[in-house]
Amino acid sequence: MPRHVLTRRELLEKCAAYGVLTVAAPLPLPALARLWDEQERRSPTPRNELGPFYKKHSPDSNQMRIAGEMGMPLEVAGRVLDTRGEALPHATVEVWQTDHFGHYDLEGYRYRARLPLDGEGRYRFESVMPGHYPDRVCQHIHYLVTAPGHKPLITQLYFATDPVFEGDPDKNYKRDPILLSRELVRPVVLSGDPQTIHAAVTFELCMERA
Amino acid sequence: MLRRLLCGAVLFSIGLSARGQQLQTRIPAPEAVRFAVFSADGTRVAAATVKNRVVAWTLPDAKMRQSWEFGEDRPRALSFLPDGKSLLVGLRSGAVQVRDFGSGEVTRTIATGHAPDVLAVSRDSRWLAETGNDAKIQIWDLHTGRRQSVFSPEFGGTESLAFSPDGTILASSGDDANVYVWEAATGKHGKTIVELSLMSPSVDFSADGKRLIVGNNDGAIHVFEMPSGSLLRSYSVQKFPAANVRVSPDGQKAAAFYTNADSGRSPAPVILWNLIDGTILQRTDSTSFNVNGGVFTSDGRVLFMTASGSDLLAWSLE
Repeated sequence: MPRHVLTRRELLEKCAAYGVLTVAAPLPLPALARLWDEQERRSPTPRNELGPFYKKHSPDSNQMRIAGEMGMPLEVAGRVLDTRGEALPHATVEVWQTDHFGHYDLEGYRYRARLPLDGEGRYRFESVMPGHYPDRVCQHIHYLVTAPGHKPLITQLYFATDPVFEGDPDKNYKRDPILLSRELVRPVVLSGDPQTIHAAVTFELCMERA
Repeated sequence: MLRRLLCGAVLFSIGLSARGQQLQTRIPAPEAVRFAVFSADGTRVAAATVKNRVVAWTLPDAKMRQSWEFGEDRPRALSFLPDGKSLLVGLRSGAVQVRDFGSGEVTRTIATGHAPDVLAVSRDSRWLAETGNDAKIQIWDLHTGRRQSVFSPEFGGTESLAFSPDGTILASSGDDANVYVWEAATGKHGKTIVELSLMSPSVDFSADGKRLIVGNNDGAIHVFEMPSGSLLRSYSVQKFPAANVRVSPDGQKAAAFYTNADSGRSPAPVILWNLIDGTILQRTDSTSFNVNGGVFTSDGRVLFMTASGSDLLAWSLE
């Protein structure tokens, strides 16, 4: 991966923004740059297969849940960042998933969307907990994230509450042969009473520079 | 992933009295089969089994001719050379072996640097195109074992590769829903066909190289003009993705082997299309999705395989 060289001005701005300047001012700039690299570098989100059901031209929306359709309401939110933790508000995030019964819509765009991002690279969408696609082990949501100057990020979001994990995703996540990274299994916050229960998940997307 | 579905689904059984298809040969396999391929003339079959073995038979006598064991190394792709005398075995360890069908000897090993899972050979047996888990497409000279070119689609993996009849053009299709046309010798990108919204699991050229036939997950067979890449026709959208499309030697027909998108274990048809007027010449609906190794043989037959327990069943369209 090409190393991004900070300009003196960028570096000073970042240090000021993170409160580093006051404690680190005596350090020379190269040392500051190293400090910045060490402190701010994040690991890119692990990649996962794109799968055979990606469809171009998904509608711009953050509301995939369809009134009256079966399924536990699900809200997913997160940010799109680079490996330095900087927001990528101009990224394009496409998501697609099965409905509650494990069916992908190939004819139309049900449970497919291109998500709007705010100025801080934040996204949020409403959906339902995906069903179990018969030829896959785990419930999952597909992501394709693109941003100028960055490698396309192809990944999938999994849920710690998936019955396949039997309550122990650390131990059982490899039951799905496509799921190679525990990091993609995200905790699920369940709230509401049994009649109105809904799920919320946070999934951060970290992109590598091209 | 569709390749994985195709490989896994052959493990499930079907009935033997199927309308529109005729059982040609029952082939006893030593264990359950993951996937299988025919030679171009339909007289040889090879299969990769769940015990990481590759077994090869002749037809119609169903006599086992070779059995190769790969231990912990999993065969991920098979392809006969056009004359049927050699078999290519793509291995998870990152190699393609060329094995002589008669002697069983390895005549060449190509270290691919990734686990190859799609193989295609030019009609003159000179070039091998393969792609693997790092999404790179590589073309190798089978005479020298040297890599000729390497290139990649925009993003995602590649599901299907096909050489033009003269071996100068390679078409690829994959997860990003694009179809790419490459100059085989150099890997130079020639054309990206972006008209389709869904992934195309299968591409094949017409006999004269002037048409590219694409089976798509939208259920249609699309015909593109080469080299312009213009869409000429699309044939009847079916309920099922067209997982494998093979063009007849005379270029007049195409055999489409469909799959059930909701479950690879559910039935899906095999349809013989007239490529000239888009009519359906033959159709069978009774196969389960475990249709595997579909081929349009050099003498014009449509053959495909299913599995019943550890038996491979070779069928033809009636």
